Amino acid sequence: MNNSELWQLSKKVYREIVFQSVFSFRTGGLLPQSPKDVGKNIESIAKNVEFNVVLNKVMMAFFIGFMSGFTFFSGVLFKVDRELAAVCSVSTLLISILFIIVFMGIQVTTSFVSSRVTDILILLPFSRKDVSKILTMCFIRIFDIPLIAAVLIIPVAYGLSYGSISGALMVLWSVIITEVFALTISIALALSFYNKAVRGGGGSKLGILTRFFYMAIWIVPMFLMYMIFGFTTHIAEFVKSIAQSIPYALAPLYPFSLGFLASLATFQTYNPNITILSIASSLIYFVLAVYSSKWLMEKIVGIGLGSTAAGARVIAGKVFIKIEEPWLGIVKKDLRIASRSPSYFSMLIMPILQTIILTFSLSSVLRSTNLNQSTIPIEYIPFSLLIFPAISLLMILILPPMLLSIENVAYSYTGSLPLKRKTVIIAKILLTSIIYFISSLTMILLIAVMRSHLLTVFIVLNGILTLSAIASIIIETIFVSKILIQRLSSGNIYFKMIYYVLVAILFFLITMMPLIVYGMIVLFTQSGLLGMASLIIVSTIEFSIALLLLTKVK
Amino acid sequence: MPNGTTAPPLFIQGLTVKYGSFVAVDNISFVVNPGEIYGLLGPNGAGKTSTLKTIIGLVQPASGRIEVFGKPISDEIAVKSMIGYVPEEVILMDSLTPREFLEFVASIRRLNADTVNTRLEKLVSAFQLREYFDTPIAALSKGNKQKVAIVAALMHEPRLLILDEPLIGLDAFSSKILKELLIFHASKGGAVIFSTHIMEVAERLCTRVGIINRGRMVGEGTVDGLRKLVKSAEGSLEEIFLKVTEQEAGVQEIVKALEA
Ligand SMILES: Nc1ncnc2c1ncn2[C@@H]1O[C@H](COP(=O)(O)OP(=O)(O)OP(=O)(O)O)[C@@H](O)[C@H]1O
Ligand SMILES: [Mg+2]
Repeated sequence: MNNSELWQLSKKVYREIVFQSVFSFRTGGLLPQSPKDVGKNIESIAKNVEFNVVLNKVMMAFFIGFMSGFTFFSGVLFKVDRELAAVCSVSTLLISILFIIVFMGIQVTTSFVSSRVTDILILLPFSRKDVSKILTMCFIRIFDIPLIAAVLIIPVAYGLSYGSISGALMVLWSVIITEVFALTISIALALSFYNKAVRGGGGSKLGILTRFFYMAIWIVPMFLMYMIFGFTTHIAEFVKSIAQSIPYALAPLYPFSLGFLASLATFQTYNPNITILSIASSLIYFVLAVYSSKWLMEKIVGIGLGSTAAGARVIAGKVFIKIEEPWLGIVKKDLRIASRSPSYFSMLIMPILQTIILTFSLSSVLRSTNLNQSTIPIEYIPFSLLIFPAISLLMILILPPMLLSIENVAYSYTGSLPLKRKTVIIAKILLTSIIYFISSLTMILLIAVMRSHLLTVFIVLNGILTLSAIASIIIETIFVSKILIQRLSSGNIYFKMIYYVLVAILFFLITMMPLIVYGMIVLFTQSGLLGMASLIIVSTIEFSIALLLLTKVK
Repeated sequence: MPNGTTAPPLFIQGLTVKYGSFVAVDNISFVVNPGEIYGLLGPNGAGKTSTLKTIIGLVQPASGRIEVFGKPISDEIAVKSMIGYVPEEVILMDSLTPREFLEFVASIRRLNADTVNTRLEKLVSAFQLREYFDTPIAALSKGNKQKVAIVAALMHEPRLLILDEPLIGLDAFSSKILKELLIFHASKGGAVIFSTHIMEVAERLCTRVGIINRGRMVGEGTVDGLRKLVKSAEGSLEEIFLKVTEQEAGVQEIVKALEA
């Protein structure tokens, strides 16, 4: 078979993999109860899936374009050292690309790694070589648009804003290295999650390490993105201060060495030490990229030959099970399922990361805020600060529908268990609340470290907000379990993200209510004390209503 | 009428199940008594699985009454606590191991740790599941997955067992074990209802059988009783089955057509 035929074929396989990525957990037992609807739905779901995937890719490409334009031109605009701006913006973009590709690709790569498609392909009259080729092509299809977009847009944007062809070429080279890294990481992560799912059991040290790495991949770029969009000058200052004090520390590090190299190629101002350091380390990264692309090919071919599924046996321990209270049983099960599914897992840790990023950005706002002599009236300060814990709650409110959707996993079996709706609801509320408390505590801890003079204010604010936060978690969970649960697909939650976001926004209003009342009271009476009192009263009422509703659940 | 202590393990009256406008189960009535192993027979698509799923509450009936030990199935928690269920297509939580899955099920059922572990030990060795106990369910073979479901269904010593084609996929040894377990279960006064395609099994194992075709009950009784009903006392259950489902003549013709 020639390559163009294989390329055509790989499209079919790719589609199947995308489809599987959405149905990686089979729901079972919840199909609509009419034969006509069944056929129709599956078809429309399939179309919907494809559309969503293309949309995602186009959005990624658009985002890459927007980001590179913004970063490079703002670097020119702000009056910072141009050479340093080049280093910063190139480094930031590279790490962001790495993140975007890995993150957006993780779900599809996981089903790529675990797909049974290879089993089918092997049966058809293809040579093993062809199978491997098809899979490689498939893998490229997963990332096609964003990869091409990054390679085209970033160097061009750089060339335009800094007016240097040699610089642009250097950036092109760096982008390619970064893309290889990104693909390698995404396959490695997918394999790690897959192995976790198939080999199971307790996490090995390496497995835990990989997951920490995954989190790091989350934190770093989001942190950087916040800096790009909100505080471009801050970041430049920051890197400048580091670069001036310890340039030798940054130069050998990815992605800074590539950034330094681009800057060198553009401005040709040589600091001999940094030049040598960055060139030498860039070469090392290049070699690393070559090796990882080799590893990547090996893995892809390995998947083609079905080697990932082999050796999935685990030596069994003693036959003895621990029995918990039903709600704890559900919580444990949820945590186990979530930790083995990339999309659930990322959603679960998202609120905490969000809080960290938010607190950082908050703290740089607060640096200029002196509570006693600020321009805004003192009464409004708690109000403006309350926005921050409130926003981080918005992410938390995505959790109840997500956790409830886990109940749809294997419903055709679990439906036969004597499971009270109330128990399920309580379990989900507890798990969500735990995540909420962890993220609140994280915020308070960070504030204690960074802006200790605001610590008491923050503890009080978080404390006040907790009542209405828990109230909205309770009411939302009850609502979703009653009305929405059957619509939630299990598995790839990004697929039905819109439901989650809409629900979260709707119930976010409950959290906002006391704040709104507070704002109004302060506006009309000019009394911060009265405002505080009404805030406490409204949130207490909300909390009582939520508890009342909860006791009414059967 | 079922009530109090004399209530039968399963009482079904006038059950109708619809998928949209399609009638999958049409006005079926039958009773399963204590100590009975009741076989539900019927060709593909007859409505066996739909009937069983309705008892479990996975499918809502369009009309009819179902009671389990005198309790209407609307009393979900009480009814489900008395039942052990093995679905037709075993889809469990793939990313969990059998240990984690059974822990979940046992926790939901609020079982006593000592009792259940003693029982589990026996079940796991009987079904030779020990070596797979910590392997994710996704990586188990079809038969082993099914055994996990069977163990989960037997773990709490349910009074009524509902099994949807439980023997498909089991090896000879395990299916022998399961059959013995069912007989033992019934001898202690428990009740079993299961669907099957395997006539010999139904013939040897079942106290009574019900044959459904296109959603209707077309014959019910002991195997002997059914023989009398179709007036072919010599016939095996297979022949009776083909007769009451009106497929007998068809088989001959199709075979001839295929041989020609
Ligand atoms: N979810 C569903 N939606 C629509 N129709 C369904 C659904 N489930 C079953 N049916 C239809 O209802 C009828 C009865 O199905 P059921 O699964 O109960 O048959 P069965 O007797 O168990 O068959 P088999 O021996 O093949 O397992 C079939 O015609 C089937 O196509
Ligand atoms: Mg069936």
